[in-house]
Amino acid sequence: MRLVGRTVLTIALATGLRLVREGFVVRALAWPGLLAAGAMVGTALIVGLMGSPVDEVASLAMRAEDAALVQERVAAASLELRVDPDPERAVAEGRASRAAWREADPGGAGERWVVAAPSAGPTTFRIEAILRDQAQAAWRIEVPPETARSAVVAGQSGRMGLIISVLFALYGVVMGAGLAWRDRAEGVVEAALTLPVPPWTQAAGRLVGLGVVLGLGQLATLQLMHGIMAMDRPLAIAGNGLVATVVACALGLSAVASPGAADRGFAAPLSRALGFVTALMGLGAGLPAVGAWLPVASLGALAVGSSPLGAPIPVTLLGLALVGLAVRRWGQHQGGLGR
Amino acid sequence: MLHATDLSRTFLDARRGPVLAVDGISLRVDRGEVYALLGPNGAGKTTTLRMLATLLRPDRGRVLIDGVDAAVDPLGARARLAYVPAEAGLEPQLSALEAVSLFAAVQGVARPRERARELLARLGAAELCSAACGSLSTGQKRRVVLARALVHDPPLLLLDEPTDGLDVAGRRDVLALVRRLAAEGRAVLVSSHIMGEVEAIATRAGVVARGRLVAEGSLDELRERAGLRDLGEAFLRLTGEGLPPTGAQG
Repeated sequence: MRLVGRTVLTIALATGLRLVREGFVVRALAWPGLLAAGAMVGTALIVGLMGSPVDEVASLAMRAEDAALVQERVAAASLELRVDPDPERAVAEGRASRAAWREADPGGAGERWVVAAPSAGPTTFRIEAILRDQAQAAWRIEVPPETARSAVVAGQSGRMGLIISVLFALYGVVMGAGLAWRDRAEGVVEAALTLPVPPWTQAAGRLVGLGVVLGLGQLATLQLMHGIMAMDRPLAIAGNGLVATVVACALGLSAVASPGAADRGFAAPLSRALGFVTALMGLGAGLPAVGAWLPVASLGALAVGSSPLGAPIPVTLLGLALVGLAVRRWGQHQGGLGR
Repeated sequence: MLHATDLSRTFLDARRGPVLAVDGISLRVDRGEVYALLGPNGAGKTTTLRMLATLLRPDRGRVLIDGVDAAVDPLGARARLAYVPAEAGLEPQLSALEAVSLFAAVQGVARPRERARELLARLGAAELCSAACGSLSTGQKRRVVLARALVHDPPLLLLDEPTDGLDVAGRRDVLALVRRLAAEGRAVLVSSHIMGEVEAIATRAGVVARGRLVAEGSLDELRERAGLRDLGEAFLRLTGEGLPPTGAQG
């Protein structure tokens, strides 16, 4: 047991070292973080140069006698009331975002309320509702409270977090398959399999090394995103994403390392593993009740609903054990190990 | 030290069906001996070596390494051998020292880095310690691979085409090393098809053709059996490659 543990740890360390030294891995891990950071810097620049496209506090210009009629309701709607003798001009000159006044109704006797607004939207509807109530109109409009801005951002950044987790799962397949292929083609596996340790430790060590490097990269990227824009369901995304990445690495490794795979080249096993991973994600999105319990599929389930944290772990452990049994025969097959 | 009996292995070829790659090969290599496994390309040398190294399970036959049955206790057998494949099998991103230390650590050698440094120095590769394996020449890689094979001081060495791709100086150094390793009491089995090398190092040889061991003995015995003084010519006659084509005489 000690020998097995030492072997897995040693191979995992060597694998991690190799992956880190390969510029490709570092670049691949850096890209999601760089993209997210670039998007944030770009947004900050645009907001800084052009100003916020949304009024933080909507203001309403009214004549003094009109304002007196609706003052309380306007305050209750969190609008800033600005008394102005010419409300229409106040909007035109930018002293207020909206205006309201009374004027003679050209179609009949009496008066009517007029609202001047640059655009329709919740604030304009709220002013309309206040004035309809004041005029005791036959119908009124009810505007529900706005969703908090932070909740909207969290939802969007949560989707980005999910996309990053999907990307890492796909990286896992490609890197797992690539590592197994190179080690087989360069004779690394053949030399290693003559060591006095069970053959499956070779695959296990590589899986641990891959999982640690990719998992740390994934966690760092998600943490960066969460720090910049608080993500919705960060734990669920990170947990399901990590499980998906480890399983994807195992699928990539076993696709190329499994008996007989050497005869099928690199592209065919790789595309099969990628197809399987994307099909699992599709299954999770289509059948979230089932997908939530399966690794990789839980990312799909999370995209359309929810996936309890840790739900796919039992199936993952079972799957890894099965993959372990499959790779036990690594190298003990016809024409294997790159020959 | 190494005792193989009646080794056979069949591969399934998609086009040709079952192919008998090795057919009933038996051989014995003792300590202090360099045994050369000779044969043309595709004769079954590498398949035989891979079965001896426990990389392939024979369909039939038995391999005993220092008394340990490789089928019953493959890990015990592996602990007593080192296999050096024709390909270097070095991780290009690791330094030579790391590549050798990795094997030493898995083999459970105490202070693996020191052991790796010592072996690299002994093989004249001390200056390669910090060089990435991917940047080494074929000869340098061969030295590192041999150092890696020796980390656990194995009594049996299986070398597949050890001088393949080496220049004259590299070839001379590797042959001298093989002789030295045998002189230290190790059993060495070398596969080759280069007769000059075999004459330089081997004490006995076996000739493999079409998966069968067609002749075995000291080099003089092989020459005598073929009725030729030149080992190369003797090899061609024994493997059947020196015969004139069928119909050429008539």
